[in-house]
Amino acid sequence: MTRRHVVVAPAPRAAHVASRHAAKAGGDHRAANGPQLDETDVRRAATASQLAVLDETDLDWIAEAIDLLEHHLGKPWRVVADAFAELPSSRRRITAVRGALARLLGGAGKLTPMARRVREAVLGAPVLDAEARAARIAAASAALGVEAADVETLLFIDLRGERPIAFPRGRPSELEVIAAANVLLIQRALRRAHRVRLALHGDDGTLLRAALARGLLVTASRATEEAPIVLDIVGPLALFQRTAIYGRTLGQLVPLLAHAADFELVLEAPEWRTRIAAPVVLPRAPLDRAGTYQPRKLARGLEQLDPELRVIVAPAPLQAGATLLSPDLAIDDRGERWYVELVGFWTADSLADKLARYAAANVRVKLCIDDARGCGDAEVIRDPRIVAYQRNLDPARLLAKSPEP
Amino acid sequence: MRIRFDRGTLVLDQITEASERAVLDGAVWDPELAAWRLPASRLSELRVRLADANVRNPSDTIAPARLEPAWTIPELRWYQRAAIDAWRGAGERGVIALPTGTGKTLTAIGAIAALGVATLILVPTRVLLDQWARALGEAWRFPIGRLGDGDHAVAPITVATYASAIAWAPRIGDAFGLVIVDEAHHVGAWCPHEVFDMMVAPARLGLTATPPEPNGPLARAIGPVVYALGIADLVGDALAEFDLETVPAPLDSKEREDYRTRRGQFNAAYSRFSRMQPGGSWREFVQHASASRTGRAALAAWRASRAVLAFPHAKRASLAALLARHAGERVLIFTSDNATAYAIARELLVSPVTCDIGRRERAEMLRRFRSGEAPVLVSAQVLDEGLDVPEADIAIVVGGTASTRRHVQRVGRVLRPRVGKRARVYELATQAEIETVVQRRRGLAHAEVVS
Repeated sequence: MTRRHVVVAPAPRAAHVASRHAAKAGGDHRAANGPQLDETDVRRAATASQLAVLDETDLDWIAEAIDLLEHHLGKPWRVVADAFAELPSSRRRITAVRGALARLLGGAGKLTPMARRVREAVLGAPVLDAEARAARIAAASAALGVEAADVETLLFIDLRGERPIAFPRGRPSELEVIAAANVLLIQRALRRAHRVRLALHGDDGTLLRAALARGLLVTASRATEEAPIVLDIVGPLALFQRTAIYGRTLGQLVPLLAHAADFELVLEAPEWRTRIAAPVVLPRAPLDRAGTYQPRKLARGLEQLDPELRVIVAPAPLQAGATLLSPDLAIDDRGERWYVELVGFWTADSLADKLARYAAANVRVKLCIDDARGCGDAEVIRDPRIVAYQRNLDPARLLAKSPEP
Repeated sequence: MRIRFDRGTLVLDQITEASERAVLDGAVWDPELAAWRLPASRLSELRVRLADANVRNPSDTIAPARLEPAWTIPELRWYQRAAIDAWRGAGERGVIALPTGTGKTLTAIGAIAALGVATLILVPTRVLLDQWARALGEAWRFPIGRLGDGDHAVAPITVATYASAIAWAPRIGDAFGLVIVDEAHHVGAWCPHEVFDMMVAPARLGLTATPPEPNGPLARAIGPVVYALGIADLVGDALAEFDLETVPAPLDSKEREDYRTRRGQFNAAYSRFSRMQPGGSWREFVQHASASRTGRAALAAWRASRAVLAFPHAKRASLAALLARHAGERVLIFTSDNATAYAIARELLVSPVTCDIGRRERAEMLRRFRSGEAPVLVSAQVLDEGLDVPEADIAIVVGGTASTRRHVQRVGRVLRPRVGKRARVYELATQAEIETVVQRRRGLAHAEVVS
């Protein structure tokens, strides 16, 4: 399957430089730059996205931003602050690029302990003349066993704005910066949205599982097997405008968008509605392990108990009418398949509804429910397909009874 | 109808009557639980609406605990008692504005004791978390809950940092009948108003030295200012006497030329904008300027002109002279930005207390300040509020904005009373900043007449 949006991985140093010069010269930069934007992608990028994410048309000014850093290597980040503000783009996009560069280049964390020791040795009562100052620095230099000039350098080297600009892994490529900045731009828009609708083509269920694992309340639907998966994301926190936690959690889905071959993200708030659609330059999709610890542990336990079982963690979503179900495990048991879902918060009604949907999907299932996650005081339905547990789920209990069809 | 609390919201289900549906205005349908949800803060309003709609016996078990009356509180001062009375008279919702160092914490403890209901106190920093927990522990004989700085203990009286409150509100939003927010002017920004949306507490109290404008997020989440006194009302009583002195710091010829050039570049662009859009706001100007290269250059020139004023030679000399004059005394230096704070720290080898300095290192700097080992601290914002620095006698304002709020907080840092103390506040000002200084003073005077 061809991915319609573009995924960028960090390229080696030589490729970074080549891509920049090629871009500046208007030449073919693709040979030197790993995963590439092709011309179709670029045309789509220019027309499809309504949220102004970054694309190849931004290569020049982003190269200018990286040049700025390159010219000031070793100097504190604050010296480029004004020059960044003058770059030919909007403040929103410049802020995203600066944030992306800061993330890609990292900090001076390993120097922090030494910088603290220097500060402890040097800072004290004010020194009001050059002689006293030189004496204080010399004393610290002797105590710490470093040159006097290094004492000056190390004094605030670990602090934001004061830390020196460095390219620890070589000059970053423009596309790498665009990809990282796009994640920040989309996350920023998500933080302000009240309702999110995400249509996905070619996703193996990663995004649905990621949303569920993060406690977002998601309604997943798909009209037919060929139609896109549509996630409508709401939740208790969606009641509140611009909720920090909700926005941050939603934001964690953005890097995962690269898992889908194609997507359309529609964000809504009372005063605005915006759309972001592939192709978008994004970083290579990270492996999302959120919420998979318990299923993986359970899978290992089941296979140890019965080596004949083949357990698949995070199987593809199941179609149940127009909606989708996202079981945690698929278990191939001597030619027969059944599913396990580790249910989050539940009520008797929601369990009955879930069982009915699995029945509609015509598959066998066991729902595992944590007693502590029951909402309300309704009694659990007595059903062999429901396995209740407290804190730890014993795999033997899952195998104790055969799932009903 | 059944009403439950779940993750910061009220969950409403088992709705059978039409009259029950009528009270669902503003509720959101949750397909996962097949129930309606409302923000928890609307519990009181919902109860009233249910009563008005004659809904009988809704199943509603949300009831914050009552507190054991086991208090040991020092006698409150006249203004503290008056503040509590005003707050209770306003329906136990509203903001009390008292200058820094006048005992807002004790006033709040008095309010908790008067109300006798489980209380959550929100504070901006971990330092304040400690200060509050200590003060409450001395006044109430049961353990005090702490959320933040590695602690996760919830008790009928709990202190939480803003950051922890955001994470915990969905779990504990139904446990408290009173919510107190310290440094309440941060509500809507540092302290997100969603925290209050997730709390059922009908009683709410804000504490601040500098109440923000009415009708803002604070008024919506907590209520209006119900009691306010200014510095002038309490100087010589609850606050130390102080002198305020402006120290002129003229630019040298090179700095003046640099300032004029950059300011001229900015003024030209701003004048063009003002002609094009009379009455346009600063924000609109920034938006407009950001769209063109010349506009961005004008903004850069404006920033550069401010950098010239931040720490010119004359301020350097005046600062050194003042530090020599007050050698050995505890001095707080306030700057307009972190870069200037680091420049001063680097030049004079004094401790910078900024947001970039880690908690442990900052605590160590404060310890050394208290002990006199490092008697000077320089900061752009961190020292503006919240830190209890009783030993400070001298404040030197090297740079700042026209913000009255910040200025009042800064002046308040050195006004904590001590026998025989007379605090001094110096403002170093270039000619171009004199107007700002006057404006700030006017603001200070205004703050004094709020009451």
